Amino acid sequence: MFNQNDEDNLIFLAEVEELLLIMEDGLLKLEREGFDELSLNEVFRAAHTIKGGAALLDIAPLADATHLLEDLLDAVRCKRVPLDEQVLDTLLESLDWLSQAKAQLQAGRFPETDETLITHLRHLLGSEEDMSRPQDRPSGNRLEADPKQRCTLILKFAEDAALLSIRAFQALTLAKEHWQVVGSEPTEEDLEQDLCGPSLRLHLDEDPDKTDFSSIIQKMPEVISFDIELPKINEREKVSTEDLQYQSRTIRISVDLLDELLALAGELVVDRARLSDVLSKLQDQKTEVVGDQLREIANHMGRITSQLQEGVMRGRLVPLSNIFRKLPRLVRDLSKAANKKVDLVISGEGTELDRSVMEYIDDPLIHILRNAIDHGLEDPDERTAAGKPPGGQVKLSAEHAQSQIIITIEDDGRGVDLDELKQRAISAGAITEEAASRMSRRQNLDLIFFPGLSTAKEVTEVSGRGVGLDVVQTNLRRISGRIEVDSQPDRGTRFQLYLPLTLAIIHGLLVSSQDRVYAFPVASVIEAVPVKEEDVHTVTDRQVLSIRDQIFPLVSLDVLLGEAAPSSRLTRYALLVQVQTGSVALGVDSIVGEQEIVIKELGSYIGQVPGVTGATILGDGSLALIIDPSTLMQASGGSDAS
Amino acid sequence: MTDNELQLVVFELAGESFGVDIAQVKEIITMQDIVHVPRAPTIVEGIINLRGSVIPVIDLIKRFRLTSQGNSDKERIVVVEFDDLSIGLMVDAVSEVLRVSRDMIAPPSPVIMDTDVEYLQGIVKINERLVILLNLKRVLSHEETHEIAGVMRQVSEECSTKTTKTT
Repeated sequence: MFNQNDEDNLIFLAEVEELLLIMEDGLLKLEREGFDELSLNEVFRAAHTIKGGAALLDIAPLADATHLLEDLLDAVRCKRVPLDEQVLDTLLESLDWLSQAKAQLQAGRFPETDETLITHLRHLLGSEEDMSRPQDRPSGNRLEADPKQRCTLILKFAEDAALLSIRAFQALTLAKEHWQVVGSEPTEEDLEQDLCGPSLRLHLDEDPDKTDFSSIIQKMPEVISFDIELPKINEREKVSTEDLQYQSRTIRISVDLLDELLALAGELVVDRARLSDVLSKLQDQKTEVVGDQLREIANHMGRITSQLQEGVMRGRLVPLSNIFRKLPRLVRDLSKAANKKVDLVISGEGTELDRSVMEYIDDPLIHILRNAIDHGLEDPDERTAAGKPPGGQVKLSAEHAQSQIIITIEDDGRGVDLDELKQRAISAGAITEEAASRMSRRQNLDLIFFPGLSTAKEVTEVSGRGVGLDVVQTNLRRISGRIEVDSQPDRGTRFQLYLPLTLAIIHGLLVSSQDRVYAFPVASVIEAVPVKEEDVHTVTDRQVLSIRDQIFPLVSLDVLLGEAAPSSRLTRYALLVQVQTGSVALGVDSIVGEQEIVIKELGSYIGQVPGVTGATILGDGSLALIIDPSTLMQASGGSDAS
Repeated sequence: MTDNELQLVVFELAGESFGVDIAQVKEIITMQDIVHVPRAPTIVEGIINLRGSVIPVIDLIKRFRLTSQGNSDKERIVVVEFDDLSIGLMVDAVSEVLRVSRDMIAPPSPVIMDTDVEYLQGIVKINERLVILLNLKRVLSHEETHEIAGVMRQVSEECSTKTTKTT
């Protein structure tokens, strides 16, 4: 049976996942742009590697299937089989099966051969089916012992490298793609029998002086050094010895470990604050020497914690491409099912995001894409009639802005029908007729986030049942993010997801009001200003603050939070914050300071509280609520801002 | 302790004694500053810092709409664990840990068996004293608080006039 926890198997499965994505990318590219030898080779190589590994680990169904895949790909490469729709569909279906098989293996179950798929593959191969062993391949890949060899490349693998024979296999495959390989020790058969030592000798028909070996060798995993031997008569001259010190640039870390490290870093942050606290108390008592020592320790701890925190945070960052690269396939399948031509344009996939935030956008992205393809984009006839190109376009982009990531999904379809949306909301009982008539365009658009609004005609097999966008919005709010929509009739719809960079530690501004300390994410505060009586004016019963010729509505934080009754008492400071409707000045009693704060969730028992995104533990052990000005304003019925 | 027995942590609220299964009690701490969370569910009085974790706290006196008679020195927070959540219960005082056998627990009288009494899992009478066994799940639920002060009195009156059957 297959032990899914065995380390070798784990490594293999992780590789299979990577390779499947490479294959998918390659196949989709071939589908879009037609026959292309480079892409074909990439897909072929990936299949070959999976086959090798599967054979070694004795996973027959997997090995057999990939063997057939390989043969089919080879047949296409040699133009014996045309690259038509049927072939591409079958190849993609094979990938689906492989993916399933991998998932089964991960769960500890042995995958079963899909007879239909196998028959399909065989059928496409026709009489071309190659029953012989893999090394009997058309020219360029022969491995017969050939007396003509101009040099021998000796590759040494890292001593503790796992799956040596697979590594050697990979190296051999890579070598064959770039050079004329006439033989190897161990041979390919040996490798398939798992007979491999720490080095691989490749006999090449290449000119060592004219060939760049190192760039290719760098791509071979676990190769730490290489030698070139020239088989001169009576002379074994070692030419160049380069110690590559090739080490894998990335490692796989368990997410649990990262979470643990981050928690530790978080605790250090709290300790550092505590230390500062004790320090200031000591200073008051004038114990100077001890104070100096403590200060030094605190500074040192400060530097260490900053580095630790930064390092761990970076360890948690993953590029958005992890999610984005699954989408082309989804879009292809969806557009096929909807009979529409869709072009997906992706940019900014290198933008990095905290792993945990990633989890929250996976589903929303898929949901919005589905909506765009199913409902947003018109079918080709409608589009041509409207003077648009028959193929619809969906643009997916990601960018870094201040301390947020903004992901934009924009389509050039028919846009949101505001009136129809309004009607639906009224019939669903979400708003009254009266309220509907007074709605602003923005409020009308935002109706899209109401639960349960999909009409019957929209409940297609592929799209949601009206539960989607409201869930998306809720989930995003949970992580201090938000979603916005904009739309123009006939021009298209655009969704923007605003996400925090990290969920755990932020730069905070501490303020106090009536002896309670509150924390604001520094990013949410434009400026902190002292409040001078002469700058405060009253306009139609509301207080406003005048700063450098700009007017801001002035509200006391305490009053907004419901902790105090409105009074004419003036606060001493005000925080200028950006909220949905503009800028507002929040009155507080004093500014305590800036510090790194660890975000502690309020917990599922309390759930989501508008305006409060969590709490943080201060140096003296007391709790300060972390305030989000935007949702706070909304919750208080938001006063109009400047 | 046998299967037949139960250990209860007994605490005082407005002069009445209540008990909770000790298996659900994580710890008992002295009263500390509770930070109020605006617009949190009404049942939540606020949050406290328990060794680095944020714990919500419920004021049971408010929850049960009783009148506090507590001596602030003895006020405690009983931290219970429920459904993987830690929640603090504010009480006037914690008096003891009682060992009772299951047959000493009488169900609340059918006469008063309506929604208000969902909080009660049973009544234990020990030495002229009544300990009301709480159904933690109900106590912690976010549902509307019910007027049970009157019910409590009724319950204790009823029970004190009966003799508890024991075998």
